Amino acid sequence: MMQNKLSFHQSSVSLEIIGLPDYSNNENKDQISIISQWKLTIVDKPLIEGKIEHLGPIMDAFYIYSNLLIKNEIPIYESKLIDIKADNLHIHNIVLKSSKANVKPLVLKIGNSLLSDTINCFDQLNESPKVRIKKTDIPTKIPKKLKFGLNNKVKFFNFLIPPFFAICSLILFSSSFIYFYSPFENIEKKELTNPE
Amino acid sequence: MKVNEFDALIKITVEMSKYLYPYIREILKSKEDIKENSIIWNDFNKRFIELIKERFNVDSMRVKKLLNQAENGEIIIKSLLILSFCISNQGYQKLKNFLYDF
Repeated sequence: MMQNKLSFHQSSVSLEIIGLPDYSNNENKDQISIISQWKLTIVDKPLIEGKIEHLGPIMDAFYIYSNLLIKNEIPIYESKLIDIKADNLHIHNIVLKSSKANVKPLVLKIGNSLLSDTINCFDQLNESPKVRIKKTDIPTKIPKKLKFGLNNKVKFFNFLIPPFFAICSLILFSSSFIYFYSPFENIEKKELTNPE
Repeated sequence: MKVNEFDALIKITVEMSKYLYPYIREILKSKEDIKENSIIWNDFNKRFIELIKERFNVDSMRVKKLLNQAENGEIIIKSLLILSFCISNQGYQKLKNFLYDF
C-alpha cells in the first residue's frame, strides 16, 4: 500500500511525516492518522528520526522549553527521551537519548534561529488538517510547581516586597529621630539651673 | 487601551512578524555568533535605540534600561523570540498568551 508523505518547511528546518489514513474512520486517502515514520532535518546537523511514540514527547519538549526560555531565567527540560538546556540565551543544548541499549545519546547545539524554525515546523504540523497526532504522556523531570507555580511565586513575592520595604524604611526613618537635638529638654535643664 | 484595540494591535503584530520572519531570524542568528556576524545585530540595536529615543519618554527608568546597550540584549532577544514563535495561524492566540504571562 502506498504511504502518504507530508513535508513542513521553515528556513533551515524541515519535518517529514510518512503514514497512512485511518480507513476505518472513513478518512480521505491523502490524510495521515497512522504515522509510520517521521524525520526532522536541521541544516548542518544529524538527521533526527524515531518511532511515532517519540514525536509527541519531542514536540512537547520543544514547546515547554521555548516557554521556559521566555519566562524563566534558567530554562531546563529533562525527560527519559530528550533533555534540552540553555548554554546561554542564544545557544541550546539538546540531548536525544535512544531507547535502544548501547546507543550513545545524540548531542546537538542549536541557536535561537534554528529553535524558532523547529517550533514553526511543529506549529505547521499541529495546524495541518491532513495529519492527526495522538498525544502520548511521558514523565518529565520538571516539577509541576515550576511549570504552573513559578509566576504565582513571583507574584507572591512582588506582593510582599513593597510593604516589607515600607516597614523597614519607616523603622529606619523613625529610629534616626532618637539622635536628634531636643530643645524642650535643654529648656527644662536651664530652668533647673536658673530658678529665677 | 481598550480590549478591541489591544486585540487589533496583537493581530497587526502577528501579521508583521509573519512578513518579517526572515529578518527576525537573521537578527537572532547574528547574535548567536557575535564575533563573526556582528554587523546585523549592531545595526538593529542602533536603529532600535534611535526609535526608542524618538518615540518614548527617555526620562522613565524602564525606557533608560531599554536604551542601555549593556542591558537591553536580553529584552530584545526575548521579544524577537516571542515574535518568531508566533508566526503560525494560531500566532494571535500564542502571542496573547505570551503577553498575559510575561
